Amino acid sequence: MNSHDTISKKSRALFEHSVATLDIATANRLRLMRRDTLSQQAPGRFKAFLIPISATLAIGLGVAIFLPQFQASKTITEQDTVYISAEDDADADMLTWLADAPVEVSSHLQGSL
Amino acid sequence: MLRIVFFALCLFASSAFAQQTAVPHGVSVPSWKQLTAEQQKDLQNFSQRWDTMPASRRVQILERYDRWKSLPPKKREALREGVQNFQEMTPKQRQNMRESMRYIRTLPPEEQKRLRRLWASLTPQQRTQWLEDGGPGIAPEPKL
Repeated sequence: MNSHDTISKKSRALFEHSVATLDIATANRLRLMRRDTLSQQAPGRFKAFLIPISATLAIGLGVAIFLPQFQASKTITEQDTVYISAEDDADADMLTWLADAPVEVSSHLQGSL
Repeated sequence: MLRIVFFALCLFASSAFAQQTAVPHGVSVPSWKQLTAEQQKDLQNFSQRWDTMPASRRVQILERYDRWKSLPPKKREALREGVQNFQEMTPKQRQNMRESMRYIRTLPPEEQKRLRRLWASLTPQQRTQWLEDGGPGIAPEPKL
């Protein structure tokens, strides 16, 4: 064994040691970097889910509130039939006038069309 | 070309409604079976007598049905309240309102619009009083 082999063996041993273990300062730096990365990602991930969830909830709420009204307005009622079947166009006009501006009526005086 | 078609349609519509004449040759008014499923559902009150009704009456109903369908939900709701309001009137008020409307239809369009604006600007109590006196176009206009 010559001196060159000795130096080579020492160098290899030092290299193996350096890659197998970390000094405390580096380990701490890596730990802090990992923590920073995780703390930045977590809210981001939450935000990414928050937007579609909020949008879905808003749409669902809107549908739940307005769909029954929309369907009710689409369904033909007895009053709608009165308007549609008015034989005289003057009667239809009259109903649109009253729709915009009704008269005061006494509740005990009620009739039918 | 479109103008000619439009005027021809207007002419047909006005003659159909005003004179209650027979449907012109070549024009077909749908029978009950020829109505769409939606029309049949909405107009089911007429199902028994539809095919025996005069063509002009069927056209009138379909025309008003289309007008009703084109109304936004709020307008439909207001129209229902208008019908309700009419049904709650006294027989005299209803008669006056009908006569008033028939008279108003004989007035020039601008005068009709003016009276309608005046009607809308009044309070419900003032409208009732005007109606009791004879109604728009017939009784003197209330002083604002």
